[in-house]
Amino acid sequence: MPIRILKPGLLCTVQDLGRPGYQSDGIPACGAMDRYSMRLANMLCGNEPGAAVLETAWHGAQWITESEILLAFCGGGAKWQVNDGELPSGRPVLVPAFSVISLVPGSRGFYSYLAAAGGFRAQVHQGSASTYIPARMGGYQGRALQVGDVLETGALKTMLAQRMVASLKSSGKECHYPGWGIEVEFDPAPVKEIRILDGPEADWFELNPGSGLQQETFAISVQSNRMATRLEGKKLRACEKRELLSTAVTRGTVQVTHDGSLLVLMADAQTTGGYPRIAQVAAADLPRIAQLRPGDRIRLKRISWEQAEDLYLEEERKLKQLERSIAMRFGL
Amino acid sequence: MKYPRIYALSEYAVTVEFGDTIDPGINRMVISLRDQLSREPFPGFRESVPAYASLTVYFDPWEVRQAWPGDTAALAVGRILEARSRFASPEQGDEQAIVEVPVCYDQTLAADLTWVAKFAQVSVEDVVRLHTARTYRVYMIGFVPGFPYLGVTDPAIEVPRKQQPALSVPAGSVALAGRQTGIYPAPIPGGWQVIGRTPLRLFNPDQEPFTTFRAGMTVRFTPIPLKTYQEMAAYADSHS
Repeated sequence: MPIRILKPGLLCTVQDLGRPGYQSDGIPACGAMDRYSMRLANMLCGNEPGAAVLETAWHGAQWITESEILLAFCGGGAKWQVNDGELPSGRPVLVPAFSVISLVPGSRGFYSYLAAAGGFRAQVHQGSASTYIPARMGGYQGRALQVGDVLETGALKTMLAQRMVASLKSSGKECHYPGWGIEVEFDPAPVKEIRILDGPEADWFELNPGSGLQQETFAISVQSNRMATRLEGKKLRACEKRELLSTAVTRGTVQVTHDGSLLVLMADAQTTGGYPRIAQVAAADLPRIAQLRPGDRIRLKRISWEQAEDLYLEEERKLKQLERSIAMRFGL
Repeated sequence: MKYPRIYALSEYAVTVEFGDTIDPGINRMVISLRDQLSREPFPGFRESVPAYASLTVYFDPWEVRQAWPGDTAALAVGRILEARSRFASPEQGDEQAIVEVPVCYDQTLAADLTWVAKFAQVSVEDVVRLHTARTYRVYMIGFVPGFPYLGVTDPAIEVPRKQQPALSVPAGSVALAGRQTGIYPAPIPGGWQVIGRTPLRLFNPDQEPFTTFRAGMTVRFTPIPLKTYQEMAAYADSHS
């Protein structure tokens, strides 16, 4: 069931839950920027949570279906239209053959996810279809999608996907979807709060999570990408000049560069680094920081390790409950 | 600072630091802990990442919490690593393999060789002689897929990084920074001083094994003439 790329938009890549297990070879963990939305999109068309999806930054992408296909669209940055009619996100939609899908500007968020029942077929490197452009790994020839590329989807593996297709009663002419939907929530606050933990080198700086850093406001830089989200704002001064011996970093690690600015490592983060690590973004807030746009303002809020783990486990529980509730709607 | 220093990096990663210097004994402790964890993983263990003086251990908090309820997963893993670190030895942690790396030090492939010689106040021949005279330990892999951090170099050829990184360093470039030496697996921007190039292909995700080096290995550089480099590079290109 192919989908053809008419316009790639700002950046459209194949992503999944990433390729952990090879970080000791210097291979980044990769994967979707907002895993919450990505997993939700998969659940909504009956896929395993780690099936390959299309990740699009912001809007402008356009695709055409070449056969009837069950799709789900989640995340931010864009709304989706099929043949100029807007479609709801967060639910399974049976889309007829030869429909033109366009991503138009959305009011919030930055990364959106298109999942197709059966998952998109893609090149797998080191156990993952996630596109890692710098080393040309995974996805579609290890690169961003371009005009004319064609992506096939896999067979409907799960009972749930088969039930969804059957229950949405194809007419072959228009889109069919259920009356319910599961929306991803976006923080409407003008200055968004991102929860952080103390980093191993927090006390190297005069302003740190325990002293003053929480009062500062930072803006998301336009120079942000899949490797790192750069923050603009107050430059931090080190208490004394010290060098850090290269050591592990991970998604969410907040580094302080030589000129005192902050960067938050994201999905394609390198595996080791030499900049001091002032903080770590709570795992539960990684999808939220991924959805910030250039210019969005944030404040960092320090929480305890117990709170951070509770938030993380709660988020996992919530996703499992959603998965269960989706299955129940289709009598499974 | 008291070592080992054990701290949580995130909700799903804990780091053990054995020191804060580039030292073979400290790195052997890192590698021996890595080997021990892969021989006897704890419930929820996912992977471990060696660095110069630290090992970072990734785990699944769900699985760890099931095995050790009560504490946060990071705290439980910290305790496991504290216990396991007692067995980390500065005498173990060497890989058996010695990797021979042929390097062509011809000026056409070594953008910074003359600069290095001038900075170190030795001849170009001396730079090559000093670089090939000793074996190096692979302390860690990082920066980009397959990039080996090797050390330590002769103090006579210790050089600083570039002020401005080169926009693209060719794949196979052998370079110096401080008392480290490394090899660029792919054409990428970089700030190390390039003194030669190897025809070996160090990273290819389509092949098995996909990478040449692993932390704990020993590396020796062998000088080759330009003609040999060209033949070997042509062969490598036709087989990848």
